[in-house]
Amino acid sequence: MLSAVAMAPDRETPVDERAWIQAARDERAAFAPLYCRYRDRVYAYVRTRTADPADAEDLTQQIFLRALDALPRYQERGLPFVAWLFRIARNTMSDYHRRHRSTVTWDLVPESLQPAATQDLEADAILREAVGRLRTLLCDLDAERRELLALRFGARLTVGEISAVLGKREAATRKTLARTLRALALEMEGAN
Amino acid sequence: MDYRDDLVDTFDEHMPSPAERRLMATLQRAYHATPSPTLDARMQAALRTSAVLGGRQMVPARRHLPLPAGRRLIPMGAALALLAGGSLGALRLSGPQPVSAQTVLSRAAAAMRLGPGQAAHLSYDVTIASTPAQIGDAPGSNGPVPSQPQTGGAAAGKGTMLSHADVWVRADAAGVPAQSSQTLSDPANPANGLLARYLQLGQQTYGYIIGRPNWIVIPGSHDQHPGWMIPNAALDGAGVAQDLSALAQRSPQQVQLLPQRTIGGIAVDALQVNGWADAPAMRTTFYFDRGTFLLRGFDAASSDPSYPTPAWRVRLTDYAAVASTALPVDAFALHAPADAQVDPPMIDFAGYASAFQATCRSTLTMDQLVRVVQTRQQTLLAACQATAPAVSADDLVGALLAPYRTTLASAAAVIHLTQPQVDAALAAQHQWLATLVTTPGGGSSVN
Repeated sequence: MLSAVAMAPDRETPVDERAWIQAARDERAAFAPLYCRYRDRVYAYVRTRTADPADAEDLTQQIFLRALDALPRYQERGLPFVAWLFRIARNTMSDYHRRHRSTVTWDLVPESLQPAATQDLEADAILREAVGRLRTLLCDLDAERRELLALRFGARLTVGEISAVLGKREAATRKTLARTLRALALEMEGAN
Repeated sequence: MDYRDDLVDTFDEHMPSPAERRLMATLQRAYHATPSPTLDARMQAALRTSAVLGGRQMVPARRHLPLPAGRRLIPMGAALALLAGGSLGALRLSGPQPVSAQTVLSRAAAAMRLGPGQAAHLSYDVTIASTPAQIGDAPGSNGPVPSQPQTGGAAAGKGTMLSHADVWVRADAAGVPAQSSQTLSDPANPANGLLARYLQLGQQTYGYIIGRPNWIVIPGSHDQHPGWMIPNAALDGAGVAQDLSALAQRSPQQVQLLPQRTIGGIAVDALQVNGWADAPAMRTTFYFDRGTFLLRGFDAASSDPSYPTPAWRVRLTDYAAVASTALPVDAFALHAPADAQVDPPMIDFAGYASAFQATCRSTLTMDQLVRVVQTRQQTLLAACQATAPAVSADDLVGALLAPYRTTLASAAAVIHLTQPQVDAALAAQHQWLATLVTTPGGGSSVN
């Protein structure tokens, strides 16, 4: 049964995810723990591809409802649940962008994604400046690399999970990601 | 995964430089995002609704949710949540502007979809009028007075009929709606106010329409679905959402998201659909509850004065998800009275041509047979005897009647026609076919 406690975030606690998945298959209301576990990561990923927070919440809800509907057909078979979930998220976002091609921009690091102000005003100012520079550099990346970064840092997937989502070899994914980060780091440092 | 794990996982060719470490820290903070508590509340409501309406676990008995119109009543989502036994504290029934019509439809389909073997009971207030203006704010343009049933129907004004639709839908083992029934009655006369009853059993439609006389329609009936009645499929919210979702994908310009509005005190998303189903000139505005995502109703009217249809206003008044074991035993029974007559079948020249060719060992095509009838120079019997002289009129009529005999037998088993009803239907069709076969021009009924 759902409750306020059941909806509390629970991302990192080790759990028997298979048991959660089976429970959700048996009783749809039991999907809540899975939602809570991945809510922030799905939302953060969606936010990298959606400028409007309200749209991002709509899409996040849609992704989880799609996952709930598809859950009876999910079979692990080497594909972790989180990778399966983000495949759904990725497809949902692709559908969304196909339908909103003329109105949606790829605003990768919008202002609202910047961290909340800390007590350390100087550190906060430095971070804001860094994020501003980063935004400019990200906009120059191609779609594949932006997607890699969104899955890595928005969805917080491992390289292995990203490879499963994208259907690519892990070594190739790691190499592309590392090279992208190296190039970005050089440009970030060069901008200073 | 913490920051150190991030580094190990991401880099394997070299140790990350200080600049790369700084970049990753910035990326991690920059990409961090947390949804508002609203998302939890909406998801909570959606899961509760889904659990009650679309869950694989069947509710043990019918859960009746009276929903008369009026602001004083609790919204559907709250009622569902109460039934599910959860706290209502964070339940929010109106979210931000939806992203698209497709989103609205996807939510609705998910919220209303039946689980395997599950059933739903829906009640609607239905207003049928000759023009949208007679209903009120329904869209579209004028049309003629619909051919209303000859009895019953609460008179709300000239050319307008108020009625109540009681609908049952049952899904098969795969969760696909397989059976539905619609009972249309006069709300002013609940005891004896039956207007019509329609069953959709698989691909077959059966109906019973009050009139003079009372008609039973079976597959292939001449008047299988009178124009003033709403098809059962349009009252199955989940099916509507799925159909419209497919239409929106196939032809996005036909499905438009309108500004949000309130009907009966409930916030709804409105979708305007042009040319839904097999009504190309029909403009329909569907209303989906923003809290529960249920189909709250629709307004429909012809958008083309040259293609008139009745105007409909349909409003949901009651919804209940039930286990199939809790279905009334007669949920999908026709209950036609003994004095009802079976509606004659449509003229089936293609079927007649097949039977004619087989019986008469003829090569005449359907078009050639139609020409025989239209030219009035020869009877069908004579045309048959040209190639099969031994075939009598009774033989030919019997052959042409055979498919209808089979249809009637099948219908009798499904909707429990009485033997006198079957005999009367066969006799009427036999007489019609005898005229068709033995009269040049086929008799007046063909022309």
